[in-house]
Amino acid sequence: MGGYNLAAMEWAVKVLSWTLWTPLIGVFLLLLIPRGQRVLACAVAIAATLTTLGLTGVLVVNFDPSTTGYQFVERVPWLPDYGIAYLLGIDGISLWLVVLTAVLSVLAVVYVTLAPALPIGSNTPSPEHTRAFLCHLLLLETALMGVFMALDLVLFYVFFELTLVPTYFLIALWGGERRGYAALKFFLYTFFGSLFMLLAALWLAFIHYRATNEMTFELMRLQQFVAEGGVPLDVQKWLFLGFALAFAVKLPLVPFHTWWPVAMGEAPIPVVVIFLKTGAYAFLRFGMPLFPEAAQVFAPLGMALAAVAVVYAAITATMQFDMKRVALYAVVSHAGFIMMGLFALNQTGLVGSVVQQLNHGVTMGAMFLLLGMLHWRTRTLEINQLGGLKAQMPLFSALFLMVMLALVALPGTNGFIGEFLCLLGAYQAAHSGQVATLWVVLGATGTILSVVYMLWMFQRVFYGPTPERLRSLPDLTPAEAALVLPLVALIFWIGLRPAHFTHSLEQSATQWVQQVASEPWRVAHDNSE
Amino acid sequence: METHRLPTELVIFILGLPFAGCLFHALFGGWLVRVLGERAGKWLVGAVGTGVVFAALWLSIVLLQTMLNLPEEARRANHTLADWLAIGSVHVPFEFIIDPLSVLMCLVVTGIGGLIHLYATGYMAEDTDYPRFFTYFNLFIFFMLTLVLAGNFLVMFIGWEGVGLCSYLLIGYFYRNADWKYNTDSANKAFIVNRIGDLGFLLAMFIILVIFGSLSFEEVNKRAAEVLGVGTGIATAVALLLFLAATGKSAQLPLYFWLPDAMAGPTPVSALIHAATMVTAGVYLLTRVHPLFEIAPAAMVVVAVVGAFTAIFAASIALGQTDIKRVLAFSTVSQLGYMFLACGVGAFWVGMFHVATHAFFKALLFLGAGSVLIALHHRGDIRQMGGLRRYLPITAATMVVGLLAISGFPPFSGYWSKEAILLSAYGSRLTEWIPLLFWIGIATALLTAFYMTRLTWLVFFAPSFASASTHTGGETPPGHAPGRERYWVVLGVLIVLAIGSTLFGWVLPSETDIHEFLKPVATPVHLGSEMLGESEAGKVLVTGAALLAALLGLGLGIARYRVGMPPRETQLQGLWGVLHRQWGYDGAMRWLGVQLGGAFAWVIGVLIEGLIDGLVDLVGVLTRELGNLVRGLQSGYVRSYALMMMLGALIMLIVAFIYGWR
Repeated sequence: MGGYNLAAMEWAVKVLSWTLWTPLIGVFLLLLIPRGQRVLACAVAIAATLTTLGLTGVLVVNFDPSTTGYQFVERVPWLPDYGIAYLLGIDGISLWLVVLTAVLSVLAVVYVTLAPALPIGSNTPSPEHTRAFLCHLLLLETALMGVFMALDLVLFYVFFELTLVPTYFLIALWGGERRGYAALKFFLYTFFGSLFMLLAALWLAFIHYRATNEMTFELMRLQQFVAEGGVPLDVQKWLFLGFALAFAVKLPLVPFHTWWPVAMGEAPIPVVVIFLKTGAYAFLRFGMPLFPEAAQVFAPLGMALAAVAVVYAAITATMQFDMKRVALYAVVSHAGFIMMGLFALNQTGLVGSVVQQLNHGVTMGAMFLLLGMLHWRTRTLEINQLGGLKAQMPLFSALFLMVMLALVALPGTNGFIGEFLCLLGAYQAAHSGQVATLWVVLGATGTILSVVYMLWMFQRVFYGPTPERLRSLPDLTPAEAALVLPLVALIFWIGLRPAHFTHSLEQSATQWVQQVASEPWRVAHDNSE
Repeated sequence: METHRLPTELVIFILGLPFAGCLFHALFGGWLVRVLGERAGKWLVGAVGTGVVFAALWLSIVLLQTMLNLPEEARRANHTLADWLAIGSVHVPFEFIIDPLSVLMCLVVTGIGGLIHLYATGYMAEDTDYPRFFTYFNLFIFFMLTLVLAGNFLVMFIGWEGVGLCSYLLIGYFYRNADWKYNTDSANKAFIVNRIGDLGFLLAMFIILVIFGSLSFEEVNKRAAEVLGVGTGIATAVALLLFLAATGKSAQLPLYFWLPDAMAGPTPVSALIHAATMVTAGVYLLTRVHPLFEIAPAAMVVVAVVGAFTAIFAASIALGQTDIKRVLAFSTVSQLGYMFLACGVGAFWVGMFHVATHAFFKALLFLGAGSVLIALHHRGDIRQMGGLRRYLPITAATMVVGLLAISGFPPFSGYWSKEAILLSAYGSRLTEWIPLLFWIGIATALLTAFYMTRLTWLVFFAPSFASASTHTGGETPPGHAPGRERYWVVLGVLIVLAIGSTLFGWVLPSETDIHEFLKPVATPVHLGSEMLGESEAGKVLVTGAALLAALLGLGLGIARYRVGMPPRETQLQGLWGVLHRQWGYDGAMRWLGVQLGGAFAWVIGVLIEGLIDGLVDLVGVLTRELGNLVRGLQSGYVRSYALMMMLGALIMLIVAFIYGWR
């Protein structure tokens, strides 16, 4: 259990810490710059995010895909009296999420750099506020990196909540018209949800303390403790629910999702771009491996909820009047696929859900960047106000079409790989009798509904004659197109050669399944083949 | 030339050429037209677009020649390009299969496809968005070839959905003219309805992958009976799910209703995608995995019944259509029904045979219709046509060839394949419904001859539209006089297709040649010959009945429409109105999808979503009021909330710590 890669430890001159804190160093550098120096501030922020990206490159190169367990582990006692440690480490699952966070941060910062000067409320900072805006953005990057690296429950909780702070200010200061309401709702809802996780974590730590007389919040040790039967199933169930509630809110999973379209609908585009699926990751890193028995008990229910979420959010997406909100509900619908893959509790489903989490960053990142650039030009994303863009902005339309195809999971794009594996994993679980087949079929109808809401939106926005007031819109500049192209390339790269990405998480996935799915699940599954 | 194996690596070029063409148009097309000028730029784009397809045709012919020189058992080979999915026990490579079936389809797709590309260089000559058209058109060829060459379900699914995408893009091709709303609605409809079918494909893949541990056609076909068992529930489920996919792509009941509206696309698109190639993908799928269907006799019966019923249903609707392309669209649905009837009675090779002959004569008919539309400035209402043979003699002559072929008159190509279908239906012992299905087939033949005569006669031979228009109650005749046949490529392609429709299935190659060629891949493996109708016993009766039906249809058609369309029919009264409205099916589906679906979406997306969100806000408001009450603080600032929650959390922490230490 939790075998540390000692070789990597010796080599690693704390790469993870450098990766984690580089954006924060960027924040301090930004504070040294005089106010209003927009170009300089952008340059510093780009340099900071690029350095971070470079450091994640070091991680990728030195990552050893042939071993299980966490790599680049760093452990420093933090509050030793309470068993709280600064414990970082990544495995094949978190590796790509860390890399993707770095990629998206670069793109988000460049996006801010390219942004024209627009007043507050237009989702873009004015020149004199650029520095402050970038500070928050970099802080958000650090917080997200921390979420994907932390292996101590308290440390994780700190980073998990730290994401709220910059996001709150980014929404409240630079959001859309209803930014006050949105920021408040976002903060209270997700903060409230996360409290349950904190309580469950404390409860778990104390059970451990009473049994061993030793305080620890270390994931691997607690995991082992639970695996060895330290926690009765009844208690496990409550603990799992505590974690699950926090993560379901964050995910966002229907019916705990209503903060998401409000908050992100008002949030500045760069926030939406880099705000990765921390909820889903938390589920698979903490929720399920800590309480495998409870996870298995709740799997049929979770699968049902997830499938309903796919369909519910997709239907709700058809009823939206704003392009951004359509995309945001698409995110909720896709989160349902992620949960279907996770609750399958098998390798296919897990890999599918990780790919789907990456897809969220890639596809939705590209989609929101494009929407942001459209917003610069039109000052609105209301579907009624738009029309005929295909004739007016051919390059923009072509890129949007490709991203849309990834979103509706056309084979050959990343979306297909993710959805196919999630649903296949769910079907494997259904085949071995662990969950009902009905939910798999219901979830699969999401592939029909996604076409309904996306094509309908595409028709109303891009087809038809261009209205008079939109006839002067310029197409994307080469720089703007170049900003989206890396993500479009990733769409097809993941779609056609997924092995390049799944290879490094093979070992971690195998180990995860061993931890999470007990004998009956695995036996039933093996028999099916 | 003596070779010992198939040059399978040609697959890369067969697929790569059209894809390269697509990229070329997408990246440089617009620029070339700007730089080289309209004429030269379009010429280059058209030449590249057509050239790559003909080059792929040439390579397919090379494959065919090599194949014919090989013994039967060496005519099948796989080519694996790379790994695609490799996760745990799930292993699906990019693999392609070269065997008589895929080569036949390659020839049809690139051959007919090349001709239609050539035709399009003329038909689309005045279009302002010429490179975009060829981008999509080449991309379609690429996806269609992927579909037919795929060696496993998942690779086929790339092509399967890819052609759907191209179909969507091309149906909505005219996205900003006066009809843009109808065009793009039709495009959406096509994509969405196809996705319903694709759900069947997806679920079938899950079952197959879990049970077989593989998606490879070769593997699945070989082990089908042993793994699934004959006549078991799971075998039937897999077959029916795949058939659901086929009904979507191949426009059969219950999912046919997207195809008629797909005629909103440019005519070459209707000819290539919505008649000759893409819509036959369902028949191809069934033939490709025929062992899976053979072990599910119940599913076979469903296929045969749906096929026969769709054939006569669509043929009856074709009687009441007034748009030249819609008549042909329903005729396509009807002919596809024939193909599924053939598959359903176990005569898979006959289904493929009809795919090939139909590709010739239906492409011919559509392109002839396109020639008429060019002359009439894209007004397609046959009630306002007539006497066009004087303006469009070559089109009229080739259309008559198409009429004779689709109606099943010897020696035209349609005769051979349709007779083969009826013969196998007649002799089949699959179900006691067979006699009914056979006579439905004969009745459909009558209707086919009748509605095609109606179309051809009203367009080319009936008194000209000026006098015909008196029937419509003195409506003003169209402002423009009909144009002449202008584009030599249009006429050239029509003539080539007319020759093909005359000779294919009889001379070059003959029915027996095709049967021999397809034998290794399309002969049933689990159905005994006693189940199949391959005996020659009923040949005289079948041929007699079919010919009589066709003659009767032709005669009745000429008799009824000799002087033009009767007024009752022109005004779509009574039965004609019912037929025109597709027996109400399309309307019912529209109601179900748009009205009922819309209401359902409103209940969920607006009402319930509003309730959930309202509940959340209510909790927030109540908490605030409670806070005000308790602490008497002015509120509304996030700090106070955050502070409160932090305090709360701290208290809980402390309590928990104390509890923990005791």
